Amino acid sequence: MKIFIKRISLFLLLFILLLVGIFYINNGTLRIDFEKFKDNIFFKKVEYFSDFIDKDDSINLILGSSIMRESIIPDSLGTKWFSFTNSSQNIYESYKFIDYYKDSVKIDTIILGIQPFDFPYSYVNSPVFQFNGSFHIFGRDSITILGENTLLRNLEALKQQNYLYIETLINKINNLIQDNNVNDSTRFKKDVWTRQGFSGRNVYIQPVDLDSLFLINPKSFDLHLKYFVNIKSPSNTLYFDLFESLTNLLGIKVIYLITPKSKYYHLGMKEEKYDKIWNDILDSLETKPIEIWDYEHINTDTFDFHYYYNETHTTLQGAKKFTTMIRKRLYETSE
Amino acid sequence: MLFNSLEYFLFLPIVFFLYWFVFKKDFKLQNLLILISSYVFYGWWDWRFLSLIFLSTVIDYFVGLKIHDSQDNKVKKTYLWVSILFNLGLLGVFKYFNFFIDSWIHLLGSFGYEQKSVWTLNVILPIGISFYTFQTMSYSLDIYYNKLKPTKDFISFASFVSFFPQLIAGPIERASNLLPQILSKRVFKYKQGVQGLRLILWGMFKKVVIADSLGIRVDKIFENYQSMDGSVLLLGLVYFSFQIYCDFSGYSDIAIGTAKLFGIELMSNFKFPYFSRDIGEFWRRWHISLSSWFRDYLYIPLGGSKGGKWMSIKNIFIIFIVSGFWHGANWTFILWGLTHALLYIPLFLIGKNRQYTTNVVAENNWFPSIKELFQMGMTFLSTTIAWVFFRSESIFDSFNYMILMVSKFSIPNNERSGILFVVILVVFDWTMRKNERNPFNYKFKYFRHLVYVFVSYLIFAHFQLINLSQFIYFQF
Repeated sequence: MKIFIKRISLFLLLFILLLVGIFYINNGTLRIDFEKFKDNIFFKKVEYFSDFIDKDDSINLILGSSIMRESIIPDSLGTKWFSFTNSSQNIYESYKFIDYYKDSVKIDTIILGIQPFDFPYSYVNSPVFQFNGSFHIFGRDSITILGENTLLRNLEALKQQNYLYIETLINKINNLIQDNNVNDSTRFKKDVWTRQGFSGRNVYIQPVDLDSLFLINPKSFDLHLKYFVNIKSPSNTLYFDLFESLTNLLGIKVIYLITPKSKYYHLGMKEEKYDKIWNDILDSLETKPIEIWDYEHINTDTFDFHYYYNETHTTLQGAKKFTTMIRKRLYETSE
Repeated sequence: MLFNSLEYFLFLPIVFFLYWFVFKKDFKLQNLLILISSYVFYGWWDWRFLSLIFLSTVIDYFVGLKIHDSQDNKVKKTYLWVSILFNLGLLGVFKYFNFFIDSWIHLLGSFGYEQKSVWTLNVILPIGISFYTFQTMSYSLDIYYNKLKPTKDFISFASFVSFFPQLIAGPIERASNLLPQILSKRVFKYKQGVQGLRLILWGMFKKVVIADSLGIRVDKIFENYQSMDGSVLLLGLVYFSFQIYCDFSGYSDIAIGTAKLFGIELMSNFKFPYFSRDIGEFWRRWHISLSSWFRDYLYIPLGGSKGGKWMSIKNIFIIFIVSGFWHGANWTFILWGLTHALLYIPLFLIGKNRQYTTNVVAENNWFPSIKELFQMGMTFLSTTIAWVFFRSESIFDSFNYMILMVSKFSIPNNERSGILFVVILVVFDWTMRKNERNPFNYKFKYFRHLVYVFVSYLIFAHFQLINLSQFIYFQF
């Protein structure tokens, strides 16, 4: 028994040393910094939003994921607009947000960006899904608590960042060989740039030549894969209906917006046969009495390549152009 | 509690320490510790269902004693039926009730009798119920057939029923193998301990690295099969073959390995089934504890192969269909069992169903011969096609899946990344194929240690601290 315990302890010790070594090589330090995993942007936005609703009797909102965050500059739409858009924010989280603030402020109009991951079969039973995870502060339930255990989430994030999966390891080696990274956003400090909630990372991320990147490393164009986890036909509009019924009840005008996407996103969708699923979702939405503004296929003529920094996220130049289009349409429809 | 959870990594060393250092002197105290640990282990999921295990334990404990004490065969038989009806009754209520009601309504509907209100049970399936009910039934059956004497030690019997390593997903142990070990003093053996750890490491690798990685791909393909290319559907099936194998055999390996740490030997459940050369060999290597259970307690009592060819064929159909039905209350599982019966019977009819009973493929060679490769390929292909029934939501989906797989076939452009996991698994399995109970038993010490580190690293990297995935066989 003694030898057994001794050898296991020795193995564990050496293994831990190996893990520590890998951590040191990756970070240049042994200090564990959980702060970098905290969604500071989110909490800053909550703070800004509290100030914002104190100023006016009624407001307008832009909601959605990072795609929406990058696509519309709220300040350019007017002083009543606030962008509560966050990384991977899904429709259920937007619903929780509205539900939380429904008695605190009158909301006139919402522009909600919709993406495939707003129509999953289940958020709870999916091992990988798109969610922001910080929305439990607006109410705990079986979905929002998934992001609540911050210590485990931080540890998982730390682990994933430092100790790579087989596929990621191989992809990383491939990328090293090909000397290619789509972009390196971690070098820059992220922030909420305006008091109206604009936090687009396109402020510091430069446009890239998607054509060349695709030729070198088509596998790095994989956002469509992430957006369609647990999404299938026929579509599940349960979470959408939840949002719609709440906003109807509150008398809020909602514009469901589908943002522009690059041709490589569409190509990826087509290859994976996701286009059919997405079309089914759109077909099912068309049967509802709602307002949808669909700009997804705009890229071919008016929306050039330098308006994107990856398959789905627009550059600052793209955001300016798109916000102008939205502003114009809002103006036209309000007349 | 899941084997692939953080809780288990804390739970196991604590129980191990108490078992060997605190309660070492008295095996009855060790049994009490096993019993408490097992109830904690199961109750971690849902403590309310502990009552079912307890009830099953109490019934079979007394039934066992009564069968043994009774001199009258009729009385013995009556007590045996008490055990069988109770255990199958549990399964019937919790697992099959709604299926029978739905099927009955469907049948009536097809004759034009529409049922307006349907009474079904709103219950969840207690995990592992099919495993522990079969285990306790085997106790009463073994006593009835005079293979075993009952124990009067209730605590030890209860720890046999609920022994945590194999409680939830097997191997389904026989009382004649496990109970004598529980009723005698255990001694820690270094070699056994090392083998146990190796099995845990290997099982964890199969589950966390291979099965879970393939599972994501399988879910995606099966959920959207109507819009996928035929080649991707084929890949989906191949991935599922390996997912279910790694998931289930991974669980068994962790169970056997954990038991070894406590000085207990459980029976083997998987012996590299995808290296089988025909379907007969496959069934001697796949879920051995269940297939041998059905052989001993169903096939043989039904007459086995002694009543002539037609009787044998009938019995083969019965055990394959029952085996399918054991897996789940759905027609898809029954069809899966039926498919295997149809694959097995031709082999039986030409008398070649038992030609590979002892040796493993290419036993003394590095590589298989062309013939062996062909045989393995054909067996794998047959079992893989049969998996479509097992994985699909309905029979319609199963056939539709296969039709689309053939009619839309092309060279796969996507979803190929899962092949990497299949290759890694096959290479490891091939090098270890001679002994399923002692993986990583490589001659060269440094190479072996390097493999330990490599495998441990991948488990660590793929291990999920949040959103843990369950083992597939928990649902059966």
